[in-house]
Amino acid sequence: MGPTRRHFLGGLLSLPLLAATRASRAQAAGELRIGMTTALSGPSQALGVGMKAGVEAYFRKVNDQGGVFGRPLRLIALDDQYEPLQTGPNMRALIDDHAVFAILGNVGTPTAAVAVAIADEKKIPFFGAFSGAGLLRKTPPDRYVVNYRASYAQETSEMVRGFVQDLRIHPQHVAFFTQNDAYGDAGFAGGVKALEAAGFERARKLPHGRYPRNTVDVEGGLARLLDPKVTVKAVIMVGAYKPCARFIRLARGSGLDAVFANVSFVGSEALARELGREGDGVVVTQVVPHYDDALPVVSDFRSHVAQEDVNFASLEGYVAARAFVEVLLVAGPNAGREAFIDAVESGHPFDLGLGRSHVMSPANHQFSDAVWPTFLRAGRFHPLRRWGDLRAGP
Amino acid sequence: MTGRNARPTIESNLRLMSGVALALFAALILALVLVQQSLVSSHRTLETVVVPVQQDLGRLDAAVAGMFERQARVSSTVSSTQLEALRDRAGLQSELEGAQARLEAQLATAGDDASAREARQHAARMAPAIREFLGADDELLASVSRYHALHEDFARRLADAQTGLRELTERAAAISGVVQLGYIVLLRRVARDPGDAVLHEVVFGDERAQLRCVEDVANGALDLSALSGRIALAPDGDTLNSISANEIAQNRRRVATSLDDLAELTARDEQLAQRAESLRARFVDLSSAIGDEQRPDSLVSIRRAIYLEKGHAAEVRETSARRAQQLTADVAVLQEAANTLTAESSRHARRTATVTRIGVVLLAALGVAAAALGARRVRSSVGELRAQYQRLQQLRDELTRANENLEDQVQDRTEALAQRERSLQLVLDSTGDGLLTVTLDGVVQAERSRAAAAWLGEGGGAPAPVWSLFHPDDLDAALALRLAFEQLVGDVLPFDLAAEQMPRRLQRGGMTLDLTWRQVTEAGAMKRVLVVARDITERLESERAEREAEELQDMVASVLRDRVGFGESVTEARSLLDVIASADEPQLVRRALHTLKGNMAMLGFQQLASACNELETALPSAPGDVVTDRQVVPLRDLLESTLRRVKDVVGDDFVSLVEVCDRDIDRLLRALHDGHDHAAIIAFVASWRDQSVEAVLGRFAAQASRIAPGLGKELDVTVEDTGARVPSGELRTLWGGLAHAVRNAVDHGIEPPDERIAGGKPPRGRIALRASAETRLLTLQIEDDGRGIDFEALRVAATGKGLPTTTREHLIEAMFTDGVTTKSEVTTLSGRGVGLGALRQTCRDLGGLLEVASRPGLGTCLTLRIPLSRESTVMLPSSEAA
Repeated sequence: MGPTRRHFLGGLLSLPLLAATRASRAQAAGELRIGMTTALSGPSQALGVGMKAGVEAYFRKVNDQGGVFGRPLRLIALDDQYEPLQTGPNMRALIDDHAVFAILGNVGTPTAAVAVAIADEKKIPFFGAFSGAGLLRKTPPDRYVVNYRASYAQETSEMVRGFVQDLRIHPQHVAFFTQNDAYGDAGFAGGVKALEAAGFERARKLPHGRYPRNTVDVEGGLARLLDPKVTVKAVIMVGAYKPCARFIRLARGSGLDAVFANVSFVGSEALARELGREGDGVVVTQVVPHYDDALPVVSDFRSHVAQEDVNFASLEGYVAARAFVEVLLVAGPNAGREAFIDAVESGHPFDLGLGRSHVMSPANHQFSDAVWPTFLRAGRFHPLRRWGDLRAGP
Repeated sequence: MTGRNARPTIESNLRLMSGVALALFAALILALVLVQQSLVSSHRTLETVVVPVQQDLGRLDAAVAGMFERQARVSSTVSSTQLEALRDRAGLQSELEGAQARLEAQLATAGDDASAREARQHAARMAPAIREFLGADDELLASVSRYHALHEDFARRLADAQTGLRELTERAAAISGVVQLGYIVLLRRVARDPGDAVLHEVVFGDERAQLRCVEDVANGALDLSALSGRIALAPDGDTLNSISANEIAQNRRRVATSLDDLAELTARDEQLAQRAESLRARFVDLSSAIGDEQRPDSLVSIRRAIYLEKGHAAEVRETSARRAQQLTADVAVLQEAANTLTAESSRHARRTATVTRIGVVLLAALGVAAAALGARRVRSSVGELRAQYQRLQQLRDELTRANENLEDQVQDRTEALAQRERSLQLVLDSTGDGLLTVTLDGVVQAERSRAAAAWLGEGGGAPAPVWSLFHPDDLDAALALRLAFEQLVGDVLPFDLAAEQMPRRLQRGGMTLDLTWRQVTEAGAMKRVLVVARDITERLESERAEREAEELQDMVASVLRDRVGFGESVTEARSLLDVIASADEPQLVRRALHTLKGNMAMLGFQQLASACNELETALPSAPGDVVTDRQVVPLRDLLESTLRRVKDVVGDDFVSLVEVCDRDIDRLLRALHDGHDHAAIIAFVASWRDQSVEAVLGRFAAQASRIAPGLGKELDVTVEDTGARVPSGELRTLWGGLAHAVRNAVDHGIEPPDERIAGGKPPRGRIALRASAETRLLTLQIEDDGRGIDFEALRVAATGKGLPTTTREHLIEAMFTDGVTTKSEVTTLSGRGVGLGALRQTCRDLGGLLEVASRPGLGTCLTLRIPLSRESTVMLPSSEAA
C-alpha cells in the first residue's frame, strides 16, 4: 500500500507540466528547491523510497521551524527506476526545468556514474548520494560531490577486519559475490584493498562469483564459490537483495557453510523479508547507527518519521538531509552553490547528532567514515557489536 | 524707287538671306529630330529589352545556382530533421519561373531580326527545361527523404537487435550458470565421497557437453552482434552479399546445431529444456531479423534498400545537374543574344552619330556660302541707300526755301488780329461789368474792362495769376481758388460742372462781386477763361434789410401775442446756448441745439434758426467732438442783437410779467368780499407767481395754429386744463421739449387735407392739449388724430441704426433714440429724430414718465406724468363752487 502510493506520488512529480507549475509557484514563494532522482519503482525501490522519506521528514521538520534563513526547503524527487539511462534525463529536468539548488540523496552507483558527470558539468552540488562507490570519492574529490556515507571500501574493510581479526578466518577463505557492474566492482575493489592492507597479496585471485544486474541468475557465480578446489568460509556480498537472498539460500542448500556479509546497499529490510528464517546470521554493514540507537539524531529521527517508515535507508536520508541543512546554515543567507561548497570545505566542525564532529576540507568531502555492522536474527536486525557474537548464535 | 525693279532691292536681298537661313535652320532641326529619333529607338531597345533581359538572365542564373546548391545541401543531409528544414523551395521556384516568364515576355517585344528570333527560341525552350529541373529536384527530395527514413529505420532495428542479442547472451549465461552449478555440486560430492556412482556421473554426465553447447550459442550471439555491426558498416552491396551468404548463414547453421544438441542434452531436465527452447526461439527470431534476405524488414534487406536509394538519389542528382547545366547553357546563349542586341544598338547609335556629323558639316558649309552671298548683296544695297540720302537732302533744301515765304504771311496776319483786339477792348469797356480773361495756366491777361480795372486794379505790372489777384492777402483762399481753377481748366470734369463749383462771390473793398466763369474756345478747344464780375453789394444789402424787417415783424408779433411766453423762450434760449457751449456730450449738445432751433423758429427768430440749422448740419456726427466757443459766440451775438431790435420796438418789459386771468381776479374779489381767511387769500395770490399750465398750453396751441398753414395743414387745437399752476421755472426745461412735441404733431402727425379726405377723415385735423393735476402729479397730454406712427418706416430706420425691431415696444423705444426719424426731409421745424428722445430725457430728469400710444391711421397720443415739488394748485375755499 505504502510503496504503491509513493510510486503514484513519484509519477505525479515526474509530470513535467505539473512540476513546472509547482516550480514557478515555488520560485514566487522563495523556496529553496532540492532535486533527487532515485529508484521509486523497480527492484531497488525500497532504498529510494526510504531515502526520500527520510529527507522529506527532515525538510518538514526544518520548514516547520521556518525554513533555512526563512526559505522553505522543497524536495523534487523523480523516479529513474535504478536505470542509468533514465538518470540523465531526470538530472537535466531537475536542473534545467526545476532549477534546483542541489541534488540530494540519489540512490545507486551506476546511476551516480551518469549523474555526477552532469552535476560537474552544471556545477550543481551532488550531496549525500546513497552509494559508497569510489567514483564518488576521488582523490582529490570532485568539487561538487559531497558524501555523507562511508564508502563500500570502508564497509568491506570492516567486514575483512571482522572476518580476519574477530572470527579468525584466513583471508584465503574469503570469497566475493558481486553484481556485474560498477557497484559490484566498487565493493570488490574495496574488499581487495582491505585484504591487501591486511597483508594478503592474492586477494584478486580469491573466488569471485558475479550475476547480471536486475536478474537472479546467481547459479554461475555460486558455481565458482562451490568449486571443490577452494574453501570458502566468508562471503563478501555486493549486490541487490533478491539475487543475494537467492544466492544465500542456494549456497546454504548446496552445503556452503560461510558467513555471508552484505554491504549496506543490499537493502537490509528487503533482504530480511526475502530470507525469512533462513536469514539468521547474515551480516549487513550499515553506514548509519541502528535505528533503535540512543544517539541524538536517531531518537530525533524516530520522533519525526512514521513508524512504518523507520529503516536504515530513511535514517540515512534523514541524516544526509541534516548534513545538507547544516552546510546551508554555515554558508549563510542566500548563499550560492559555490558558497555552499566553500562552506563544506571551510573546516567548520559539523555536528550531525552522531556523537562526533565532522570536519572537511578541499581534500575531503566525506562527512562520515563510520560503519555499523548488523546481523539478522529471527527476521530482525541487531547491532553486531562484536563479530564473535555470530558464533554464539542461537 | 519702285522703278528700279530690274536690280534686286535690299529688302529682296534680306528676304533671300533670311529664306536661306530659315531653310538651313529647318534642315538642322529636321536633322536633330531624325538623330534624336534614331538614338531614342536605340536607347529604348536597350532600356526596355536588353537591360531587363540581362537582369532576368542574372536572376535565372542565380536561381539555378541556388537550386543546385540546395540540392547539394539536400544530398548531404544526415537526418530527416535536417531534410525537413530544406523542404521549402517556393522562393527559388517562383524566382526561377518568374524570371523565365518575364524573359519570354520581354523578348516578345524585341525586334524581329535574326538574333532576337534566336533568343526567343531559346527562351521558349527554357520553360520545359525548368519544369524538368524542378521535377528532378522533387524526385531528389523524395529519394533523399526515403533514404533517411530507411536509415533511421535501420538504426532503430539495429539497436533492437543488439538489445535482443545482449539478452540472449545473458540467458545463455544463466543456463550456463545452472549447468555449471550442477556440475560443481557433483564435483563436490566426488570430493567429499569419491564413490563409483558419482564418479560415473561426473565422467559420463551431460554437463560438460551442455556447457559447450551453451557457450557455442553465447558465442554465436556475440558473432551475430558483430555481424549486425558489420552490416551497418558495409560499404556496398557486394560486401553485404558476402556477409549475408557466408557469415550469417554459417552462424545460423552453427548455432542451430548447438541449439539442437542442447535440446537433446537437456531433454531430461524439464526446466532446463524449457529455457533452452526459449533460447532457440529467441535466437531464430533475432537471426531472421538481422540476416533474413526474404524479410523486407531485416537489417540486411533494409541495408540493401539504403544502397539502392542512395544510388537512385545519385542518379537523380546527376540528372538534375545535367538539367542545371543545360539551363545555364541556355542562359549563356541568351546572354550572348542580349549582348548582340546591345552591340547592334551601339552600332546603330554610332552610325547615327557619324551621319549627324557629316550632315552638320554640310549644313555649316551651306551656311557659310549663303552668308558670303548675302554680304555681297547687302554691300550693293548700301551703295544705293547712300544715293537716295543725297536726293533727300536736295528735297529738304527746297522745302526750307518755301517756309521762309510762309513766315512773312504769318506776320501780316498777326498785325491784323491785334487791330481787331483793340476794337474788342472798346466793347469790353462799354459794359458796366468787370471782364477778365485768364489763360489756361491761370495768368490774368492785361486786357480787361474798365470796371475790372477799377475793382481789381490795372494789369500794367507783372502778369499775376487769377488767385493772387482775387485773394492777395488770403493764402488759403488763394490756394482754394487755384485748385478750383485747375479743375476748371483740367479735362477731368465738363466745364459747366466745374464752373458751378467755382467761387461765386468775391468780397473786395466793401463790395460783393458776383463772379461768372466762362470758357473761350477756339476751333472747339478751350483756350482761355472769361471771368465776368458784377457788383451786387447794394442788392444784397436791400435783401438783408428786408429779411430783418420781416423777422422783426414776426418777433414783435410773438411778443405781442404772448409776452410771458416770449420772455420764457428767450430765457430758455440763453440757457440752451450755455448748454451748447459747455456740454461735453455730443448728444446733449445736439438735443439742445435742436430744441433751440425749433424754439427760435417758433418765435420768428429766423436768422438764429437758420444759424442753428447750419451748425447742426456742420456738427460732426462722431462722438467726442463738441461745439467750440467760436461756433457758439455768433449764435449768442445773433440772439442778443435780434433781441435788442425787438426791445427797441416793444420795450423790455416782457421778461418779468405775472399772468393773472380774469377768473382768478373774480375769485379774489369774491374771497375778499366774503371775508375769507387772510392766510388763504395770501396763499392764493402768492400762487399767481406760479406758472399757469393753461397759459403755457395756450401758447403751444397758438403756435401750432400759426405754423399749420405754412406746412399745408388745416388744424383745430383745443386746450383742456383744470387751472393747474406749477412752481415758476420748475418745468422750464420741459416746455421746450413739449413745444417740440406739439410741432411734431403738426408737422408729422396731421396729414394734409386731401390725404385726410382720402383716408375718410374730416379735412381739418385736431390736436388736443390737456393738463390735469392731482396733488403733486401733473399729467400732460398731446393727442392728435393724424396718421399715427408709421411703424414700417420706423422699422426701416431702426434697422438702419442696428436696433432691435421685433416688437411694437422695440419700435417705440427706437423712436426715442436720437437720429431715428421717419422723415426723409429735414425741415427747420423738426425731423432730425432728436426731438422725442430729448423730451423723454427731460421727462426722466424731472422724475417723470413719457408714454406713447399710437394707432396707424387714427392718431397718436403722448402722455407725460411729472411729479412736482409741491402741490400744483392752490384753490380758495369752495364758496366759489356754491
